[in-house]
Formats: sequence, structure tokens, C-alpha cells
Amino acid sequence: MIKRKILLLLSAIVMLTIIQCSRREPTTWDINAYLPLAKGELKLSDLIADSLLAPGADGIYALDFTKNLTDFNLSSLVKIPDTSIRQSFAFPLSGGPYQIPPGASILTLTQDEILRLNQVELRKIVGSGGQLQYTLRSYINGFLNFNYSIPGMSKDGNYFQVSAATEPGSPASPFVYQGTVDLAGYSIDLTGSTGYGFNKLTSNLNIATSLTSSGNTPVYGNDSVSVELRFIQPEISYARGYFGQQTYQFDESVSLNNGNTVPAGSIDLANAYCEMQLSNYVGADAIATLDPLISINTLNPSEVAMNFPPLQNDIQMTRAIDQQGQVIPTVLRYEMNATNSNITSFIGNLPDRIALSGSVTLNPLGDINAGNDFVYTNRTLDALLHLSIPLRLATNTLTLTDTIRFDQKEAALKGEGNLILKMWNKFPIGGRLRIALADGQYTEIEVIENNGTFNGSITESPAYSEIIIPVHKDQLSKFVRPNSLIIEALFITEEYPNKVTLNPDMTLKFQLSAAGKGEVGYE
Amino acid sequence: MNSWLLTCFILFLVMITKAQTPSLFLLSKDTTYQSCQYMPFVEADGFYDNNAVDHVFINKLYRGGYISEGLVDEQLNRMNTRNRAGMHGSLSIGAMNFGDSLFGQNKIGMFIRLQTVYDASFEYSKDIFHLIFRGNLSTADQGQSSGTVHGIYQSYQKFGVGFFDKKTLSSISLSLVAGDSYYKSNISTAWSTNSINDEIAYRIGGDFIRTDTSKKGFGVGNGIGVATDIRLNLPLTNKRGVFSFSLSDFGMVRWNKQSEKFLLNTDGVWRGFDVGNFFRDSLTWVAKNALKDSLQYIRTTAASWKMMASSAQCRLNMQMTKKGFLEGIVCVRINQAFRPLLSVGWTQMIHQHLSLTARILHGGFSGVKAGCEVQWMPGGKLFVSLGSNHLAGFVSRSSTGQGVYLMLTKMFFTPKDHV
Repeated sequence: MIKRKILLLLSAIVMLTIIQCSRREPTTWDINAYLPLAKGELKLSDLIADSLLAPGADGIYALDFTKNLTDFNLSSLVKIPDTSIRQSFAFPLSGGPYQIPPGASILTLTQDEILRLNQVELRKIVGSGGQLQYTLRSYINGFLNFNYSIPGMSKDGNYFQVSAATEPGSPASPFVYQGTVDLAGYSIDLTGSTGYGFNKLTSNLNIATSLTSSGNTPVYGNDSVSVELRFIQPEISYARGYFGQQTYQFDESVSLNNGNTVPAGSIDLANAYCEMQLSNYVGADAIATLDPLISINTLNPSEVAMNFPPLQNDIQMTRAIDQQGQVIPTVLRYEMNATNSNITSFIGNLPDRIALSGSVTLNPLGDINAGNDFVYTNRTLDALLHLSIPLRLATNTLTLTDTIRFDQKEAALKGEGNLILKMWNKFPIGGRLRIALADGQYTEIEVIENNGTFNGSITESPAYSEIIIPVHKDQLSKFVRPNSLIIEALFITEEYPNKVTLNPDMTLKFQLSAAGKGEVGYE
Repeated sequence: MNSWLLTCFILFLVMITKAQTPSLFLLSKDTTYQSCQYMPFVEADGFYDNNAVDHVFINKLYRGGYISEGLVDEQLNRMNTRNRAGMHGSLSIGAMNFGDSLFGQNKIGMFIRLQTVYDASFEYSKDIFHLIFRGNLSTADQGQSSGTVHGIYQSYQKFGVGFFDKKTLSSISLSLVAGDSYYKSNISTAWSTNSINDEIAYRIGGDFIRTDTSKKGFGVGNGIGVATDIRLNLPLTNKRGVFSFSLSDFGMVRWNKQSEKFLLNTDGVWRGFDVGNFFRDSLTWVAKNALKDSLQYIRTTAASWKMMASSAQCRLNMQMTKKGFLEGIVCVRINQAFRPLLSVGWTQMIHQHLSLTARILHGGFSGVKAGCEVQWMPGGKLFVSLGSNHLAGFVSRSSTGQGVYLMLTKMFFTPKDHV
């Protein structure tokens, strides 16, 4: 009986202990905290890469872009496709066998072979890559000395030649001799044996019986030898000839910002200018027909076409001059400014891309240079755009926007309080801050701060501003994935509409702190 | 020299003495238990105690729930500049062999004991508590706050074999110790919040030790050591009471070479994550790197010897009336947060198999507290002891500690012994 009571007592103690020790829910409490969250300093170079900032003659810094809008790849003009040339040489008699003594010549030939090239009549090319594969075949039942050469194909003063001692072959099983040559550096004359043709390759062949043969070599009237040349992925660094009357289309778009965030909105830009430089490095006349330059703002999708009549007419580009390998191009410059174009709205669109499309026609008047067009394929035609935007502006609509996505699934902090944003601004630009909560599709669901005003400075001393942003409990609970915070700053230049000047010494220092009650705890 | 002599004297006493058990065994006139064959026992002891934080607060920390600002303020009002807290839990099973003699000594028996121990103690400043549970807003712009966090937590198992005197139950045992985990922090901090300049200046120094974290839990064996437990009971002349001395868990554990030590030495001023170019950089990236850079420490790994949760206790039970005994206890621990625990109590023998003890204690991890204990030996064949030195923890929500200890023993007699 006593034992039973003791067991009951012990069981009760154990049960009570287990109940006492079990954890029911997370432990939470509220703290009233003050915490600096973030600080920073915005400089002009944070918005515009240093490489794009250039001091102007008047000391005013300018946003300076230079971009090659298009680089016409005219090496395709003179491209030689993979080509095979097969030459067969038959013994010039019939019947047989004819007993040919050792060392006697059987066949000596000089022959032009034609390269099949579309519309292009080339007289000379210089290779920069690719290979020439040669294959010699002998169907003659005897030991021969085989000499094959292309005298117009030379490198470092040595012309291309192949010498081979062949062994007996037969029609069913010819003797084969193969090799390859790197075309880089080879100069190839394509004028043929006459010296004034084009696309013609002249070769010499000499076949003799071997001096070391033990006896006569029997040759029949239908015996032959063959030579096969294969150009494999030939690349050309230079070409001369007539390039034909050809038209090339292009449609190019280049990025201007190199990863910088370009502010949205539009600015009133004074004294901005844009220069287009067209250069022809090809020894052939050309006509360029350009569509208007397009200013593209991809962040705030909009496009503005440049209205500048000289660029909309056909542009005649005369041939470049080749002075012993040094090319003197033909250069055309077009300067667009506020008086001769709509550059204000073109740049005011704050493009992050610029597009150019059009066409170029070579030799519009035909072969007026008697087959003396030339091209160095590393540089042919280009269109260089130089954009300069003096950092003087007056704006009341410039807006900077940044979006911060929340990473965590659940609210990191439950509570309420104030976000305190302090700013020390040396820019002569003040403005208003707007902060909104957005959902996963970046659609605003709640405005947290609608009109936080900050000041710009018109002196060397920074202007101080403090914006207190109350954040309520229900707002803080929405700081979770997939929501995001959209921070939008509307900038207004001081003394608008007078223009202000920006320079790289200007900074905007800021510090964001939080003060309030927050729930913390642990599971 | 005198201290060496004293040490040698104590050791000598320890060597010649035998055993100790609850006072009922020593004070009761019924010594039938001494003729039993075996006496298996189970002992459990658990408490937490601190000088300021009450039962409600600790309950919420441990079991969960919302801690209101009012509750935090109550704790703060009770706090000193420096505060102490501790907890201890142990469970033992073992058996004492009364039946056999040892090396021809009929008065000496052997016993074995398996024990698992969990022990923690902390010393912390009021400022740290305020920072954690109230935040820094109310102390912003009020100068520097400072705080220290000294803490030790360790858990281990002991397997001990020892000898005891069958008459006085004095004992000595040697135990092999298998360590589970050991954490120790000795960190001092200082900070000040300046809301005008938007900065928090901070300084963190000290060290933090933790044992191999790749293995956690009961019996993982991250360390190995030895310990001795000594219990000495000296009957007073004319059997008018007994003086007891005990030394528990006196030993060291060698924690394995995966044990880590972090030397912290960081000071700085926090002004927020540097997000200078937030248009270009990922805020998450910035935050991670800022946090990483803000804490500087040196980490080393090595095996090390650490003291176990040792304690020493002296108890005097002196007969004052026919059935009443005055009890006095002094207990010390090798622990920064533990103050000497002093206790005065009264034990009333209801009859030879039942005693009740009431006591007032002061010290340890807290101030004054009350305790009581009932010891019952029904029929002289069982022994049950149930007590607590934190009685208020069962009746008052504002108490700052709670604990209970329990011992259950069964005496096995041969039929002819127990008449």
C-alpha cells in the first residue's frame, strides 16, 4: 500500500516535471531601440561613371559619351568561300606502253585556275588565316619526280611549291601525296598568267621519271596525274580588285551607360551637342543612307528620333587612299546642336541606348577605278557618335527610383516606429521623397511616405534635411517577400527654372536610422 | 605552510572517513538499515536560482510567451549593477553494498554510482539585461553603458566506484567522467548610443570557449576526465548530532582538440550599413559584409583541461531538544557567480522514521530563501527524501528560484537480518 502511494507520488512528480518543462510557444518581448541602419554618400560618379565625366573648356563638367555605333564588317565583301580546285594532267600520247628512261621529263604545264567568287573581281589578296590543303595523285606505274608550284603565292619572298618523289600507282590505286599550308601571311596574285586578269591562280607542273629508277618507266596513253587544292576557311586581311556594286543593310544599337543607372524623367539640357563622324577606310566609293538616330530610354520606355536633315539625305563617301599600306580615310563630320536639330529632346529623353540603321552601297557608279578597289579588313567603315551633355540643368521633374526587394518570408521585425533620414546635400538640387510598398509585381499597395522634403544647397555648405517617416505595425508586417519597397526621389533644382551646374565635388551624404518599438524573440 | 597543513589534515580526514547520507540516517535511532545487504538509490536534484529575475519571467523565457514591458521593469527594479544566475540538474543511480566486507574490514562497503550532471552559471550586468529586454532608446544620449557576461555551462556523465563506512555512511569515490559539452564566456562590453550623431559606439573584449560542436547531446564524449566525491560524517560526542563535509564533482575534464576558443577584441562605431552606391550594389551583399567586418576575433582550436562543477559543503546537525536538531550549512562552489550559501534550519524528528526540516538560506545565486525537507523511512525498508531550498518558487510568482531534490532508496535485507 505504501509502495503504491510512493509510486503514485513519484509518477505525479515526473508528470508535473514534464508538463513544467514543455515549451508552449515562442518567447517574445518588445524593445525600444535606436539603430543606425544605413549610411552613404552619393557622388556624381555614383550616377555617372568617372570615365564618362569630362571637364569642358569652360570648366563645366560634361557627360561625355563616345561610341562606335556601327562597324561595317566589310571583310565579307571579299570573303573567299571554302573552295576546291582540281587539275588533271594526262600523258599527251595514246597507246603505249612507252618506255621512258630515268630522268626524262614526261609533262611540263603552266595553267590558270579560276576562283569562283560572287560579284567580286579580285587581283590580289593577303591571307590572315585558314589553310591550303594540296593533294597530288599519280596513276602512273613508275617512280616519278613531281614538282608543283604557284609562283603568285608567296610569303617572305618564297613562292609556294611542292616537290614529291612518287611511287608507282595505278588507276585503281593511285599514289597519293598530301600536305597543308597556313595561309596567314601569304600574298596571292590572282591576275593569272596574263598579269591583268582576276580571280585566276596560275600554277606550274613538271613531272619527270626518277633518276634513281632501275630501268625504263612504262607509260600508257591514258596515264595521268592530278593536283587538288582546297582552301579551308580562308581569311583575308587585304584585298584589291573590284568589289562590285553591293548594298549592305545594318541595324545597330549600343548601350551608353555601362551599367550605370540612368535617372528617369527629362531634363532641360542646355548646350548639349552630338557629333556623328562617318569614316570610310575602304578604297571604294560608297553611298550611305541612314535612318534617323534613335534615343532609347529602356527604363522609362520611350524613344525620340533625331531630326537632322543632313543625315537623312544620301551621304556620298569617296574612296580612301592607300599610301604604301597607310590608309587615309575619308571622314565626314556632322554636328547636331540645339539650333539645327532636336537634340534637346533627343538627349532629354536620357537614353541608355542609341540605335542606328540604314544601308551602304559600294561602288554606286561601278568599276570606275579600273579594278583598284582595296580594303584592309581590320577597319572598313565606321560611324562614331560623340555625345556631350554639359552638367548644367534645370529640372523639376527628374526622378530617381530604386526598388528594394525583401528577402525574408516572414517579417524580421514586428513593431512600429520612425525611420529617420538625415541628409547633408551639397548638390544644388532639392526635392521630395516618396516611399511606397509594392507587391511582387511592383504594383504599389501602400504609400509610406508621400512628401518628404529635402533641400539642395546653392552655397559650398551642405544643406541639412531630416525626414521622419512613421512606419506602423501593419506596414512593417508587409516588409516580407515578395513585396518590395519603391523609393522614388523627385529632384528639383534650386531656383528653378534657372540652371545649376554640377561638378564631381558635390556629394549627398545620408544616414538612415530607426527608432521605435519592435518585437524580438526566439522560437 | 599553515595552509598546507590544513590541506593535509582535511585530506587525512577524507581518507579515514566513510560515508554520508541524508540526516535521517545519521540522526535516527533506528540503524537497522546498516544491516541490510544492498541499498540501491536514485537521486535527483534540480534548481535554478538568481538574484533578480522572478519565476514568471524565467517561465516565459523557458516555456514561451510574451514578456510585457511591466514584467521587464519589475526585474530591472530588483537588479543590482551585477547579477547572478545559475542552474543545476543531476540524476544519479547507484547501489551501496552493506553485505560484504572489504579487505577484511567489515565496517567498509563498496558502492557504485552513475550520474549525469548539467550545470550552468552566469554573471551579467543590469545594463546588458536592459539592452536585451528594453533596448537602447531610453538610454540614448546618456553616456556609456557597460556590461559583462561571465558564464559557464557544462554537462557530463560520471561513473564512480567508492567505499563507504557502514556506520557513518562517510564515503569517497573516484569517477571516470565523460564530457558532453562545455561553454564558457568571459566577455566585457561597453556601448553608447548617440542619436544626435546617429552612431552606436561599442567595445567587445574577452574570450569565448566552446567544445566540439560537431557532436551534441547526451553521452557524445567530447571530453574525458576524472573526479572524486567525498562525503564525511562525524558524529558529535554523546551522539548529540553530526558534522558533515562533502566535496562533489571535484575533478577536471580534458575536452578534445576540436574545442574552440574565440578571442574577441573589437571596438568601433556603428553608423549603419555603408550603402554608398545603393543604385548599384545589392543591399543584402552590403549588409552581410558589413556585419562580417564589424566583429573581429581570433579563433583557435586545442584540447584543454577544465574544472568540473565542483562544490564543497559543511553541515552541522546539533541536537537542541529531545527531538529537535539545529542545522547549519555552509556551501561554496568554484564559480564566479556563486556566493557562499549559508543556511540555518531546524530538524524535527516526528518519530524515528520521519523527520521534517525547515531552513532559511542566504547566498548562492540569490539572497534569502526558505527551504524544507521531509525524510521518511517507512518500515525501515524504504527511504524517501523530498525537499526544496526554493519553497517560494512553488507559492510565489515573484520568487527568483525554484528547485527540488529527491532521493529514493530501498534496503534489501536477508530474511534473518530483518526481524
